[in-house]
Amino acid sequence: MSKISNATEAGSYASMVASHRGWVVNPDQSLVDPILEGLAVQTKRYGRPYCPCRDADGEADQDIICPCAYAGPDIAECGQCFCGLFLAPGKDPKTVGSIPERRH
Amino acid sequence: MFETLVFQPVPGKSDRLPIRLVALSTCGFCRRGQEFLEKHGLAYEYIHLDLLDPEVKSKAKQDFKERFGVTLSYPTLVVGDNHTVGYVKRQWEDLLGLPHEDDLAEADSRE
Repeated sequence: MSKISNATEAGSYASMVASHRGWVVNPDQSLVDPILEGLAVQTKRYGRPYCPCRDADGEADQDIICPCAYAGPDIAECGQCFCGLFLAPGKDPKTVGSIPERRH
Repeated sequence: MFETLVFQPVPGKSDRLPIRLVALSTCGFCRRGQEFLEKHGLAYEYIHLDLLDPEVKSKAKQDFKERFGVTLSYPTLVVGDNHTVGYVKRQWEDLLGLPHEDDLAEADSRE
């Protein structure tokens, strides 16, 4: 069980992931706060921080445990992950929006 | 489509369009999309699919794919027979018949 029981802990987790992967956490709090709350909700529901921007059902969705399997390619191509939580360094947060779903 | 689902109504100054938002309760762009509709005073209905019974949710996703030929992603804005997947402000403005706010702001800044 991941230790993400609230948005603050989700924020710490996101910062750790970003640092490890060479990304940055989107500084736009109006977008990121609901995502962090969502990560905490997903962890309570399923025991793991499943992507809060996708419809997870649990065990069959290992590829969308945050950071999802698509975050690397999305950030390389679009400068952001599907949720807009993680950005490539230098990406202007004002240009963050929904991007095409890479997962099928 | 979605006839069996219970959407939550949100009142607005304008109800000229039948607007439905399919969203997740946990998604940042879904929240942003709701704020967009409310900022423009548009009445709409929404549903958070992640809060539904798994069987009901599965049926809703299947219905959407049969009708529009694409997999449901979030948020999805449905206006009558048209839809757009994801929150891309300009696409939402087009679908809702609204002016492009960013273009107006840019024009204002040039004056």
